Amino acid sequence: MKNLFIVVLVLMTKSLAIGQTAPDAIALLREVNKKFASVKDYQVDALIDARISFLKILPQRAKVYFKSPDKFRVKSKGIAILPKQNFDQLFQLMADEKAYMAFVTGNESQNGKMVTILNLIPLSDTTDLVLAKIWVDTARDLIVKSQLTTKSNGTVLIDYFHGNLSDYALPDKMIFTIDVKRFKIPKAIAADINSKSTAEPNRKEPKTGQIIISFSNYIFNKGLSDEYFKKD
Amino acid sequence: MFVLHVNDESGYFMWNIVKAEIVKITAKPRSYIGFVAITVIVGLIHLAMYLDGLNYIGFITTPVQTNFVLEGKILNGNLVWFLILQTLIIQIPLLVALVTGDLISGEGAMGTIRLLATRPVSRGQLLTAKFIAGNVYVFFLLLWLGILALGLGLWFFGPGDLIVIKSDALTILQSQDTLWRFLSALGIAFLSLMVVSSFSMLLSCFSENSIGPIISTMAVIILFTIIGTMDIPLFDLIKPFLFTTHMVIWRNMFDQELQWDEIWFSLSVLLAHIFLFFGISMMAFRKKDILS
Repeated sequence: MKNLFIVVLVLMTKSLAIGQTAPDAIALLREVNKKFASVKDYQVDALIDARISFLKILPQRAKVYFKSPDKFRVKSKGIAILPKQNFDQLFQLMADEKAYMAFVTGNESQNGKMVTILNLIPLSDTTDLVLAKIWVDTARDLIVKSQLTTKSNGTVLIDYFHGNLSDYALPDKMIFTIDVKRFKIPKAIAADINSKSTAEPNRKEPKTGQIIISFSNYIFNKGLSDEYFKKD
Repeated sequence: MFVLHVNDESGYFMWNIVKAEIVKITAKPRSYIGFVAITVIVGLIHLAMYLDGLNYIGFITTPVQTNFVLEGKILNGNLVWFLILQTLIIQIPLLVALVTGDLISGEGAMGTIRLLATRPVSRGQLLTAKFIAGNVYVFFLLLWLGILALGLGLWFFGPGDLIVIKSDALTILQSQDTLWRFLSALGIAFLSLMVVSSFSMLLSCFSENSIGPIISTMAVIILFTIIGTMDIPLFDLIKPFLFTTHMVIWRNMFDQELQWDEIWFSLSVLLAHIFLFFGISMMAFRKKDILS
């Protein structure tokens, strides 16, 4: 709680220092969210490519289903590894303006475009999300990057790449950069006797992993049945 | 009653001796202990996984699931097959030794070795026939394990991608990419068990009763396995020289990118052990005093 107070205090000070007020941030987020709010449901093909040091997996095809306000499901024939955060978690948070405080903290150039940086702090202290930092391309009202700090999973950085469906804020590709801990289970449990460690000695293991999800064949606002969201 | 036909054609003659040895193995009740043990263990593992498999999977994938979500059918026939192979291949050498450790010393204990030596069969041919028959037994034991584990696994759980769990890494293989790996793994496991059978047969050549070679083989495998399990720097120096280290190379068939250099090296080490053990057995058996 004390930490949250300090974070809020620092952000408010910074926000006031550059002359932006909370209502401006809310208005900007409203514009950003307006695009996605027009999507009532969608289904899309996804290619999930996990690049995590301890995990060896080939890219996996999956189908992603979403139905407003919060139904979300990924189905794959094989085993796919996904980030814990739903792809639309940020939009769900932004949709309820009373659920967070928002501040504009500055502007910066991203890939030659000026973007505005906002911080969102959920008001409820029971949510897993502690702070969301988002980079908004104000010319297109699109989120281009977000950084979610959570209680349970550390920090998740998400890069968004938009194509044809940028009017609906539906990305063509998302890159999740996630904090990872070293994978280690006892040899006896893994029945991994007589084996050599696959990790090279003296080699620093990367502390983050990436999951790259490419989307194609969006079908949206066609009325998606609730059947798609039932757990098998 | 099996009658040994002697023929001038050496191939046919050898085949007859091998057949005689196979008949002798099948006539002994202890030869079926392995098949029964495998059937019971495979059945129990399937039952346990059917009733509580998801909790087990959840437990061993906890380090992944703290940051990620694993989507898809994780508990499937391929995973159960892999878990069974991984568990049983540690125990199967003991079942193999139970039969192959008795091949020479059993004859000595019963006094039939003298009778055998009066036949027009050289000691070298006799030992070779016993070696082949012992490995035919190993082959069928592994075949039974493969059929039972795969058949029951696919029947209970269906196919699916395979999660290979190592102590410091996870590999996920696509379902269609698993069958050839399993068959190759069984092939390598067969070669590994041939090392055990030749080792126990070697000990059998120096003993007059079956208990000694069987227990000694088990003790050596257990000792080597314990050394292989412990991450102690001194043991790390010893591990490459233990045949048990190379016996688990079958697991490398389940790496996403196969390390062929490592696999071929271990296979050649296993083959070298087989030739070495069989060669020493041959020398010992040719000079074995069967009159005392």
